[in-house]
Amino acid sequence: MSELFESTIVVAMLAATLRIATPLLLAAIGELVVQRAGIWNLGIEGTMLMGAFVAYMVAISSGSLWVALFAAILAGILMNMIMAVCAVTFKLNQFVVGLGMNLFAAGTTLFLYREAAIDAGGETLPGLQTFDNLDLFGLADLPYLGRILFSQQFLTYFAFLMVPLVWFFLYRTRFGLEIRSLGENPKALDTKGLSVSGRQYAALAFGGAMTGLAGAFLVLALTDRFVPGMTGGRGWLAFVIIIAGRWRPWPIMLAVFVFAALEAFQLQAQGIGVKVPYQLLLALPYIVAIVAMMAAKNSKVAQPERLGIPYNRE
Amino acid sequence: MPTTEHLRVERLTKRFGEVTAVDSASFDVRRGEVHCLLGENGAGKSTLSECLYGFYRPDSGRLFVDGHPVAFSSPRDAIAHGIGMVHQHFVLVTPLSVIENVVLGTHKSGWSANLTEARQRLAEICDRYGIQTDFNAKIWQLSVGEQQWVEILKALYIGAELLILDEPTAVLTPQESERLFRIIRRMTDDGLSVILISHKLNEVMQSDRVTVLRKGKIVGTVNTEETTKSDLVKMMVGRSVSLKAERRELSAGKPVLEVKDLAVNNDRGLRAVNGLTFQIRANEILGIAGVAGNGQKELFEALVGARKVEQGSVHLNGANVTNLSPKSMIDIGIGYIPDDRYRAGLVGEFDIEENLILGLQERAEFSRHKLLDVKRMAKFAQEAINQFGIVTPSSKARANTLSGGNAQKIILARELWSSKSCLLANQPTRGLDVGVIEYVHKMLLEKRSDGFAVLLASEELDDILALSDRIAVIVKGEFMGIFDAGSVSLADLGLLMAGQKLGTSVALEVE
Amino acid sequence: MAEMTQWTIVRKPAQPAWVASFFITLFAILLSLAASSVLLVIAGVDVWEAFDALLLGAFGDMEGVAGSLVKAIPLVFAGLSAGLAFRARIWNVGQEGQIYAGSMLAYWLSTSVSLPSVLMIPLILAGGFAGGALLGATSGVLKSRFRVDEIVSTVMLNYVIVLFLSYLLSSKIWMEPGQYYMQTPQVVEASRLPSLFSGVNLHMGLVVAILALIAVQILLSRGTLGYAIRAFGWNPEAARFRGIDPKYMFVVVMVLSGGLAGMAGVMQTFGVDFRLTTTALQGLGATGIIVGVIAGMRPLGIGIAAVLFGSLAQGALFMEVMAGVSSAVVSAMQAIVLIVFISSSAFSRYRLMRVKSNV
Repeated sequence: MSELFESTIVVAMLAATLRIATPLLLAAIGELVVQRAGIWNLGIEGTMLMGAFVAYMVAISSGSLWVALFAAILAGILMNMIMAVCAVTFKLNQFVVGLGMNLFAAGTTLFLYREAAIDAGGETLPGLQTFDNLDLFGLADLPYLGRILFSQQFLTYFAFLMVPLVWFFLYRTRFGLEIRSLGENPKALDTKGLSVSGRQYAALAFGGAMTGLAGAFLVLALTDRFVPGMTGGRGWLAFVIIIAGRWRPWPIMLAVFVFAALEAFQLQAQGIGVKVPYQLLLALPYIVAIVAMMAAKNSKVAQPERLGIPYNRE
Repeated sequence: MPTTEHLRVERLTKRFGEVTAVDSASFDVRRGEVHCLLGENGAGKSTLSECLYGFYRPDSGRLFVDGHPVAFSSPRDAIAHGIGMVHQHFVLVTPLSVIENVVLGTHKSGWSANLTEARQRLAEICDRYGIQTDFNAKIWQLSVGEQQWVEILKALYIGAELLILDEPTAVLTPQESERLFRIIRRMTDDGLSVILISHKLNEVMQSDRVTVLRKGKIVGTVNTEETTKSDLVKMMVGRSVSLKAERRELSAGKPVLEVKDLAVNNDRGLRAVNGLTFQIRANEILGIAGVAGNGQKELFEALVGARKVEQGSVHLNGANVTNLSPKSMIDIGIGYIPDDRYRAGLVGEFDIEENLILGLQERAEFSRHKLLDVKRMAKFAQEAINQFGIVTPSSKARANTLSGGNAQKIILARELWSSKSCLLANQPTRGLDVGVIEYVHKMLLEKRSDGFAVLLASEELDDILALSDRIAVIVKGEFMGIFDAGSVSLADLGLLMAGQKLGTSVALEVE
Repeated sequence: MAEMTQWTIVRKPAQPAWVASFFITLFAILLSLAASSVLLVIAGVDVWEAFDALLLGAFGDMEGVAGSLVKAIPLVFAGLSAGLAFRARIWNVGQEGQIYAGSMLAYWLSTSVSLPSVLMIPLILAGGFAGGALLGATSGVLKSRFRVDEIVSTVMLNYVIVLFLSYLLSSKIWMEPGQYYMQTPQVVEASRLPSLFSGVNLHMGLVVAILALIAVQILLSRGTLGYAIRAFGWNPEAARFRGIDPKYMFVVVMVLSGGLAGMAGVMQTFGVDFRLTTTALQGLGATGIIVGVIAGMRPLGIGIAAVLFGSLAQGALFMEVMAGVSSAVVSAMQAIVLIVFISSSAFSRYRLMRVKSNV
């Protein structure tokens, strides 16, 4: 095998890693803020799916990717607001609500997609003209690095930019201090007259927007169309990534890289000539997720103390 | 004596559902005074003070600050009127530092978590009242006593002129309490007013005035100088109580529980109990005095098999029972009264019948062929209700609908029935009314007479002194010594609990 | 003096349980119908026509009723699986994977041995239970030995097990030579669940399902194990102190819960489909979870909810033909029912109250 061929594959794999990392990172960073605020939102998968569906439907009907992006953000926020009403205001079991949101998203998107397809007279709907890759600083043609670092989707850059921003927000601003306190001891805020639920709603809105964007990225950049159930466990992986990253932004980014690299490897595996059943490669992220959880068994110490426990005054 | 009115409460009522927690309470606090709210558990002291702090919204009644009517819909309003509160159960964010806890929620504008300015202001406050603390220490690194200072600093930082302290000495050694009272005096000299909630008479006597609550109603307000402890008890309980339990002299029998060089870790994996060695004989109560959080919980959990023994051994009646499972410990007859009854002793959603057999459900008395014998369960429950005087509409009442005292009696009934030679009781009187406390004392002494070895840990030195044959003092997981009950005084125990050896303390006092 | 009026949510005093649950159920059903109608309107469907077809398909004739019951059978098992685990506060969401695992082990047994029906059917029932239990136990052990969150492990194993089936098919291990579709051959006649009555398409799984409902009901209300499960679910810490070993509970509950899910797979594969594909059992797990939750994790309720959802699925098939509405509407409606049910349980606990703060 020629050296050139090998390096092309490595470049393609690294470039793909960053691309695949994008939705995971968007969702995980958004959900990080939610969990730090004490809400155990299991509905990431559903919110992402809804974001993807709305982005796609709006994109084909409006023809504007930007409008689609905006709609996906709104859809994500809306999904998490349902979660907020149930979990924060009504103090329902967060596990059950989150699961309900996933099933709700899976069911409605499947049905509405089928209906739209029937209306369009077929089984599936067409693909989209997706976002172009940016040419950052005009460096896209740089050998190797150009394709990996300077010729990605703007949402990819946005996702990676959010890591330091969210870090700064959490650890350097008073709002971040308040959010971190919420997950540990919401009463500390309540006894100073600060609204616990208001902040939890806000955190969920942020998380919803980020997860909606993650969904939009799936149809507007990573592929070119919506397919029912297309999130394929990415929301759950984001959930695992937060635990493996011990609820901290930078380690979360690292964990995202690991999972993204696995998927990128799987995409290139046939090309490299790896002789294993493709199902094994597809199963790899899920198996690694379990292994990661086994390795992260001590990370529970880092878990916000009141995560998932509804706050009651009495 | 201060005379200017600072806060006045008129006919304040607060209900939770059907229960009236505070019933038409009226009293006033004068500027610069220490005003004590005295009452039994459940008398409504905490609820009343949460209403003054705006945390609960009263159903009716009026509040005046400096003679002006005010309405608090949130603690924010109370804070704006210069009212600060230190809650009984601390509301600190443990992974955050002292300074972060203090500034949390105090920002009026801006986005930055500006700590530099806050440090300066806090240093001034600390200087003024003589409080010392490391601003950068994380809360979890501090002792419970040190955490108390952080709570007080939080209230002072927001500029409180009226400070409500809810049972502030519950977690302090007698010496720490004294220090707290010195600082409280500095505050009142400085023009601050203090509402002190307590049920400890020694502290109450250090206040300027006392308002006594009973069952949600105010019994009266008296000048401390003009009253006595026994008058206050009468007001608080509605009858006179003798706190002395009748304890017969018994000669101790053969060793029952023998613990050698025991080491146990806490949840964070750090040593909580370090090298404890003791034995308890039949007909003997060993009392462990100490501020909560010094390893008592870990010690008891290790003795009942719910926590791993890292080092050392435990023998019961000569048999090695080190690191047996909780089930085996129950089966060999160790009885356990946990410090937190709703966490470790009861299932709140279970009814009395079900709770009475928790851990005993596989026994032939209560089940056959893996199926529960509900008739036997009902009969057993009826006996326990009668014998222990559990107040309940029926044996099908859920445990979480019962009062603390009645819940504790379920545990007592179960443990006294199932234990054979050894009873372990950690803080068995915590949060109970005087009447139930008397009952618990009586039960522990009864078991002692029956030939049991009893291990009793309590923060209430009254419990320890009233019941124990020998007393051990625990500090940071180690014993300061084991003494015969007659040979140590209350003051000695206080010093020991603060970690001072008796010899050195004498030297200090001479100095 | 400031007088403010604002709305606040307060806890209601407790009502008798049956009054509350009757009104919740009524309210939730109406609200679910309303929400589902909104969905149908969004999709541009004539709501009345759709519901009419739905009812007709589910209850219109003997065939419809039998079909509804047949669809309810696996849901009973999946619902029991979820209900039992959730009672112990063990969040097993791996019903989907455990259903596949049960079917796969039963299928393997049915192709490995040749037995008469009277022996074969008990064997595949046991095999189905064992298959689901095995996968459930994996998550149970992962939790008790390695502290792996059971939600994560069960979700991940759902994906893994289906990929494993896909491998068995695509590598031709379980596929007929020359087949185009990714599916196994039909299972042998002796392994198929026989009909209860001649002429009606209703297999004997119904009897097994009713027995399972009764067994789980007795286990939970009277059994010492059920007692331990309830104690553990409500207060795991107290349970641990009182000798109920959490590690044991995780494994034993996951075995039972997984096993019940595995039985659901057997019911579908050997009672209806007679062959395995990677998609045939999809959605049963999710519906089972919904059934378990809205039934309040009580066996009797699970039976009723399973029949309700079975009818919904049966009616939807008819609706697809008659009214041209995609039968995918069922999964959307089920999820709506779930969300409405769990939020209306809150309405029974809270009410909106106007508060005059006039302190």
